[in-house]
Amino acid sequence: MSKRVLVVDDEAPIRELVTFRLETIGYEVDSAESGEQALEKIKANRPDLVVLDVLMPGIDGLETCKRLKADDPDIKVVMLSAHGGQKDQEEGIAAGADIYLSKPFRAGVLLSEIESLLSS
Amino acid sequence: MIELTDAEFEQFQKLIYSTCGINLTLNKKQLLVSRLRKRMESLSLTSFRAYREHVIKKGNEEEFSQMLNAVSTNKTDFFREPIHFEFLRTQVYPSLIKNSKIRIWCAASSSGEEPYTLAMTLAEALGGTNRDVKILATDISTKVLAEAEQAVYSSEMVRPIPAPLLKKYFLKGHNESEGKYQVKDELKKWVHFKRLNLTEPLPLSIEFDYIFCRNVMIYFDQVTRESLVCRMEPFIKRGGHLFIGNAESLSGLTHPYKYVQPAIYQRK
Repeated sequence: MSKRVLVVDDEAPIRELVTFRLETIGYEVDSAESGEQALEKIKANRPDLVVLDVLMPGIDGLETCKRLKADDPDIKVVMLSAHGGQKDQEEGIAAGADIYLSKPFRAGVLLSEIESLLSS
Repeated sequence: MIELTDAEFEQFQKLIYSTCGINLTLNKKQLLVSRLRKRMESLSLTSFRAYREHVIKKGNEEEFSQMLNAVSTNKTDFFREPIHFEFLRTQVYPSLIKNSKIRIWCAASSSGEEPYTLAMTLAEALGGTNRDVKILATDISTKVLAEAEQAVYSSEMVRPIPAPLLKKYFLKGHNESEGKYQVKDELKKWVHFKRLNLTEPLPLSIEFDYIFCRNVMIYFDQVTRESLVCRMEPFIKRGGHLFIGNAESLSGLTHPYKYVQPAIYQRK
């Protein structure tokens, strides 16, 4: 049974890239373009891991992360953000992110982080 | 001079066949000797037996992959076997370009000429590179994949590319890069390289619009070929095509595809 990943980003190119790269290593992938849509999709079909952009219109990634972790703390979260500062990273981790990566990120790094989170 | 006995050759033959499906015939013995000798020298090993023991030892997976790099030949060209690109242009692209996303798998991409040729022809059909196109380009050899990611080619290598396309999709080198051409980023961003062994389970969860799997099955025996084309089927969209090399054929194999024309098959 392949693991499920939900990719949440309001920017289509990032969503498409991450989705494609994950599909080519065997994950079942769905995507959402907002925090609201992500929370609905998580409720309908639980993913093992969520790749979550921080800066999105509507509920942002931090708030989305808090809500999804409150419902189901076992879902892993990899947070992506254009803000790479120490404080931003701490905020992300405080919101419940398991890993925090700043954009631009290398696809290879993202994939290996996801692989190690899902195998642990 | 280090000699390779027939018995040692047979052992390499078995090892290579069982791990990557490549069937080395006896007339490849000299090739194997010359290619592996370099590897052995770099490790200061003095016999083929010692080299074989070295590569199969746990922890030496990197050298194992180096060995596979050395034995898998990687002949490729831009616009090689052009009839396929003509088929794409006339039979496939007109309907494909209506899709919101396009996914292609180039299963034996070697140093990148084939996936970049696919990218160029598709960009022409789409009238630009703004669309959601992804080309998965895989090969068993990490060495050629690294070259492919660089996307730098000599003027000799780019010769088959029509001049307007070369101008549009390549940067021409100057000074120390004189005579070299590099694929532009706008095209490169479509192509994603990844190491993949076609004889192992395929780690994919995606359906492609079509698959190019050309000139790799010539190294495989019938059982391995049959297994590969059958395992590829679920990864092609219904009605999507499988392209194989002109020197290859699925005739005599049990497979689920509809024959379209030589070297082109279609998922039912």
